[in-house]
Amino acid sequence: MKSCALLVLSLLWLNSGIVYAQVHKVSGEVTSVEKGAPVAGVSVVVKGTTVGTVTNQDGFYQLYLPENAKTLVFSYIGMKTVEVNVSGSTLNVALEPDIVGVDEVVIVAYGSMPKERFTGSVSTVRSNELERFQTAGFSKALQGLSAGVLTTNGNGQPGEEAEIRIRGFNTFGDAGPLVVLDGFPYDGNLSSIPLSEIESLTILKDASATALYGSRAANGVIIVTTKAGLPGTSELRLQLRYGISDRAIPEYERVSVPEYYELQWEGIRNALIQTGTGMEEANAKASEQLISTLGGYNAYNVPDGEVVQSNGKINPDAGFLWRDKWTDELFVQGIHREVILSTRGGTEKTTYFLSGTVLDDGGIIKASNLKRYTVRANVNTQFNPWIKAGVNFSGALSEQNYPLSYGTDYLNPFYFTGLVAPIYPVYLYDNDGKLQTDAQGNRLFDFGTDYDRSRGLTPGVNPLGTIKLDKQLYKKDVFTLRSFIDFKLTSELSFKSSISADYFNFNGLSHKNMKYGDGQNFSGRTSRQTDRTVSYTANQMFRFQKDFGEHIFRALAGHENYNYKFNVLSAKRSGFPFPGLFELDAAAVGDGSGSFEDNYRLESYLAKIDYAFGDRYFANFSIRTDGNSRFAKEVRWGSFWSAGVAWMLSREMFMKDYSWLNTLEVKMSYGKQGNDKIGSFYGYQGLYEAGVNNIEYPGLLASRLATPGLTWESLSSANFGVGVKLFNRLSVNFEYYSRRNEDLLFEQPLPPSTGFTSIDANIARLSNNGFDLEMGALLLKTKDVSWNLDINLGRFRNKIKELPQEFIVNGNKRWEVGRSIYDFWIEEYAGVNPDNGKSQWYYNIIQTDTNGNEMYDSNGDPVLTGEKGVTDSYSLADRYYVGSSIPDLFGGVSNSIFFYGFDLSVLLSFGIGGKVMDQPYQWLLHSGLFGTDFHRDVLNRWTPENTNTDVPAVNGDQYTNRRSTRFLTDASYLSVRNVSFGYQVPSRLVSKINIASVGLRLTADNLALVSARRGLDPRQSFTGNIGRLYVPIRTISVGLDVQF
Amino acid sequence: MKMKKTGYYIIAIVLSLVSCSKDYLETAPTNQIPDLAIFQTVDGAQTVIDGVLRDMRSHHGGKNQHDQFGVKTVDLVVDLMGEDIAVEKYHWFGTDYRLENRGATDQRPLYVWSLFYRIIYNVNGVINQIDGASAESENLRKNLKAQALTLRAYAYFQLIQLFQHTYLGHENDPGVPVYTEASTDGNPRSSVSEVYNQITNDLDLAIQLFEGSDLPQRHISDPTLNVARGLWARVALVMGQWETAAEMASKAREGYSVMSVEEFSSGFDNYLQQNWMWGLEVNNEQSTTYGSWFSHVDWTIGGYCGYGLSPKSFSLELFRKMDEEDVRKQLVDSASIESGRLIPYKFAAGGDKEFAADLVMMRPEEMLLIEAEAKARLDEDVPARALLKELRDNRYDNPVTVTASGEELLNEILLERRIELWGEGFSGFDIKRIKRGIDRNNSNHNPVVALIMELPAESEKFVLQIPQTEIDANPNIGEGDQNP
Repeated sequence: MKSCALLVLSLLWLNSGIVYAQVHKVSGEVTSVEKGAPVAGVSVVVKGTTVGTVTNQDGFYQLYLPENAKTLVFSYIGMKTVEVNVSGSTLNVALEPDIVGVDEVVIVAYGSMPKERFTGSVSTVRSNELERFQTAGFSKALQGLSAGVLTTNGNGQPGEEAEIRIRGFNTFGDAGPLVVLDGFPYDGNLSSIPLSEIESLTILKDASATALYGSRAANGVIIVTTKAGLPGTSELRLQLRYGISDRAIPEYERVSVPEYYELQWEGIRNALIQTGTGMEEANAKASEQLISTLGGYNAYNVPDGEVVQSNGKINPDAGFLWRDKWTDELFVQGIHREVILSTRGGTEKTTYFLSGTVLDDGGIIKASNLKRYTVRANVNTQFNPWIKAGVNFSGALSEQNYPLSYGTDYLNPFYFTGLVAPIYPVYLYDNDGKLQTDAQGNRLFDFGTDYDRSRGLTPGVNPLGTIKLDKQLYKKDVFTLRSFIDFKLTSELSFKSSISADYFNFNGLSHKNMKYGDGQNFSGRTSRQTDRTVSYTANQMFRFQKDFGEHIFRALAGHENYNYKFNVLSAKRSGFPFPGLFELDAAAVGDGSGSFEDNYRLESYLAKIDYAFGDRYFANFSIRTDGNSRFAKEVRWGSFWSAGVAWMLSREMFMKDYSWLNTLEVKMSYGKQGNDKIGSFYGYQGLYEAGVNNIEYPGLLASRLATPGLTWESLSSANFGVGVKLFNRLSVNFEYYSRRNEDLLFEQPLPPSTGFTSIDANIARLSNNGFDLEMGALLLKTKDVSWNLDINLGRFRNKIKELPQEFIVNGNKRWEVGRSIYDFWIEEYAGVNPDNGKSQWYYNIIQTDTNGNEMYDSNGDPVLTGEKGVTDSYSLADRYYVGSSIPDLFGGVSNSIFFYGFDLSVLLSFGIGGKVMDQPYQWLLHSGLFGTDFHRDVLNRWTPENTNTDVPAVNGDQYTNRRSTRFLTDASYLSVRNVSFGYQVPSRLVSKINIASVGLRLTADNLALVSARRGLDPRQSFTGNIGRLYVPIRTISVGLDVQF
Repeated sequence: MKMKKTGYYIIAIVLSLVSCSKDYLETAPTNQIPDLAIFQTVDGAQTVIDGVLRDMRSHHGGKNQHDQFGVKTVDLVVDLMGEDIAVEKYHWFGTDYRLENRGATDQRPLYVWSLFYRIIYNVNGVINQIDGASAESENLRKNLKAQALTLRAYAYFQLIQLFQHTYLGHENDPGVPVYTEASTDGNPRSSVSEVYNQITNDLDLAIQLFEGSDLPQRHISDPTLNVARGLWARVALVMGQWETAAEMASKAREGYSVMSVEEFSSGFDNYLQQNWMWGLEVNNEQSTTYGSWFSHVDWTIGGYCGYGLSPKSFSLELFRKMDEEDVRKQLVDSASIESGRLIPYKFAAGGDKEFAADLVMMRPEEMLLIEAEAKARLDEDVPARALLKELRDNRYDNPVTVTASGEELLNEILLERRIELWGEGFSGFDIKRIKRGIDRNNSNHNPVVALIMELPAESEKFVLQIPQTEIDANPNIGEGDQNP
């Protein structure tokens, strides 16, 4: 595999060797007058020839000139083209924004258009903002980059994705956006697209922007545009990166070994007193029972009964027999290595971008990593004046070693280390503290069962011992094809036929070893699964353009069909002859196998008209009709549309006098889109699940009630925006939106006694209203120093408008009209009873009649007095609304500073407000679970001497740390997402060795986090439920960027 | 212009290639079957019954939810709520042992409720549609319908025993909702006697159909005439209908002999080695492994019990009451009796079936004990003594003589039930049926783990509450209809 990728890389090398063979040479820097920052991607061409190049990330270029070269032409979209005469070997240029002519171009659905004529809402993230990140895919880079885009951290395992939500939570189901790659919906995994291949991410937010994606657009759309060559340029670029990774979030604060023994002693003593034992006897018994209760683990060199004395203090003569730290042993430093080789350029007729990358991204738990090899070829050609064609092809092979690292499985190292008491060793020691080794001298692992011991926490499990022998290997292969042919039929009309195809193959292996853990009973066990996803889209589009004086028309109409096929094949076997084998062929016993196929299809007709009156008034109209195989014939077809208008106020005559105002544009849009992700490809059929077999007899079981009227969810959204640019230095873009989601698919709860717990129905409604604000400012601009500040902010209010029931309890949330979908509804903690150290909770007092009986209304519901009482019985506690997991405000702050050849960028992301349920903390605040560690806050527990506290007594009461507001924590955070520091070696130094430019870069991802509690990462989920998940990783790397 | 014409031709060709066929948007799943297709034939009904039988031993809940493995979960839960199993560590089922997994929002009530009502929904489909299905054999049609009726009776019987006190004295108390056909509207709680009426009617009809079909048991998991009668005997015992109980129990075990000492000691893990009337066979592929009956109770395989995460001891109090000559006592390892650990080897799949151990649902010894108890309650001490002797002769090293009579005899039979049927899901329900409380003192129950050491007869803790999701979604059951 590796050699294959290297071969491709070396071919690319050879390929580039033939590009230049000239003599005279010129180099320099291109900056923006407006922003002062270097401008990347500026085309630099020798006038009258095809010789040219583009500027690199730092705005530098270098060009070998033909002998007769006199003038260089610098051009860039949205900037005025500049021609400069060649004089000397250094030529620095500052480009001015082209505010009179056509401004910036934005990528939109099915094409691109001048930004000012676009009436919708988009945010663009450019390659220079993405490329500084070291994550494999863009989903983990988006946090804080774009207003209104909320992301989680995702699983920290290299190659895993973060979740993305655009402008609120628009459905009760999967609210993730549609991802479009180079114009077509993408069905591969996001981490198979290297950041270095991406030219831009365009986030389509409102109706005007998304309507052309019809029944799949309601959650927003992200268009990934890969790089293309520029005519008349050539560039070869080699990037190398080497870094190290650590856990970015520290562990919670935990007690020490002696503190642990003392606390557990106290717990046993207090439990004995509660069941009627006298104090003195209880003290003595607690000392006697302590070690055996904890499973026979005595980490000290004193007898079991004397570790904690009857005064509750650790024996002062005790010395340690072992001091293993689980976190030290399980977590390692990962190594991050990346090689990117790319070339781009073109002639007037043909442009190309070729790229090959190799990534080796080491995780922070042993045996966790990602290796990825990618190639991409994007080629476009103008065959003759009226036929254009192009192909984008990419291939990516990934291999992930992905040890279990989520959920409440003890093999999840984050869960295990998050609970295990410090008294338990990693390695095996005998009762005298002697480390045990095998015949080769390797340390043996303590599985919690040797020497008649039984570890309090999950005996039989040692994640370190198991991780080395188990295997969890995922291979993901993605191939994508995007191709088109375009005929210019007349000067006004053209026809384009496109075909795209995605192939995504997932191949997973999970092996549980035969020596330890879950696989022991089966002499080892392996499951394999292969998923094959193949999708293709074909469309045929007519485009029309005509201008009548100041009336400018652009139109598009076409047909499209989409076909998605998903195949799964899985098998499981057990009974391996000896360790080290893990493929199915080596195992003796069949444990089951299966396969199935899903099909999903769309057929669509779409049309769009853009109209402009002069350079001031703009309008866009879109419509798409989708037929969708997920729904019954009768309700399968639906139409989606949008209309938008924009007015460039600043170009009106009456604004002429305000010269400090560069631009002022207002825009509005309204439209309707759909969401067809209803969780089933066969949303209307009543179904029985097959394969519920009774030994050799095939079995069926009812799995779904028929819902013939089921249809897509619909979104009606309005957007109002104002964009201003002032003094050539400051830009502000403000947008207010109002989104109404209707016909939301809802699992309408059924009484479980009917045999089903729910039936799907289009019954709920939601709204998301909010604003996005983006501000950019050039704070400082001198000859050698510039400082840019960009801030984006988002805020929205999510509201349930209609439900099939008065309210629906969903875990620790309750849905009710007028509340958000993420409103916590849990028990309210009323502190500790100072008299007895018991936890207390609130409850609703029920009215009683004159006989003292509780009163119920005609529905059988209790009649409340409206007052709250306090109880120490958890089962009597009532639940209350206590806040939501949705932040009040979220966004990012980006600083870019350039000085004397150095550059520094710092990206911060933040969330203000919202709550999270801090379960890892909750688990550590138990009241004497044998084997589970304590948080340091337990040191402040209630005792007869310490009665003024919020932490209940340690006495073995299982209810003290049940869910309540005690563990509900402020979700506000500030994260230093990325810091990137670069230096551009002066071109005069490197030009001698025929190199255009050399840049050095020091980059850090996830550098720091401030949150309400050490160890807490509030970005783990949208629901606010925090668990033990692979934490984000902090990668610090050095990079070399060479252009030839 | 020539080129342009060619262009139009190309467009025409491309368009004709991609236009969609008429049924382009028609798709169907490959691992699910539309409901309309199933009850066309009785074979379809058979697959649904097999689906139900499998679901009775399937793993439910999430991947790591290891205390939800079908109907044997209930057997374990009800025994843990009694006295005869001492749990050493708080782990899975720890809250059941503490009789605290019974509240409306706790997971246990919802799990067992959904489990049995899912069975009811599926067998209702069979019962109501099988008459319209095409059948090559009318006998098979009758037999399958009888199986479905038996399963429905079983499900309602388990539900009513879990969600209310026993029958006698509570006939008019609210029971559980009854459904005899598919519905998405919630029904109100029927009274206890209405639920028992439904059960006995189903069993009567099932017995009639079984008698008229005369087909042999296809597989150990199939309910048969004997099973339907055996279930009737169980129900009659709860309803205090002693004659019916004795008669049904006696008929139910026709053709089945009491298992020998060797058979009894073979581990209760293989239906081929023991003489069961009804059982659920398990194989490697369909085993629920760590989330299974044997994982939680068997000391000989590496499950939750065997690995020491949640060891379950035999009751010391019961152990003391057993005769030294009783092979069932000899199956309990008392080497660590000082620490309170009594290792029962009744359920032992180690070195044999391992996790693919079969699950017992009904066996002749229970029928014998039902008959003996019914006879004793009818003051027919002679046959009662004979039945007790028949069982003990197959359990003791030497033949025994039974001399007790009256109340003493009845108590001996009840004690014999605890011993013979230990761990099979009867002792907990017997506590409710006989209306005695529990006393876990003077035994090997650890107060720190058990928390509850004694409870009075008919404590509300023996009754599960209606799941909150039922109350929330069912317009006919409100908060006021909840169990205390």
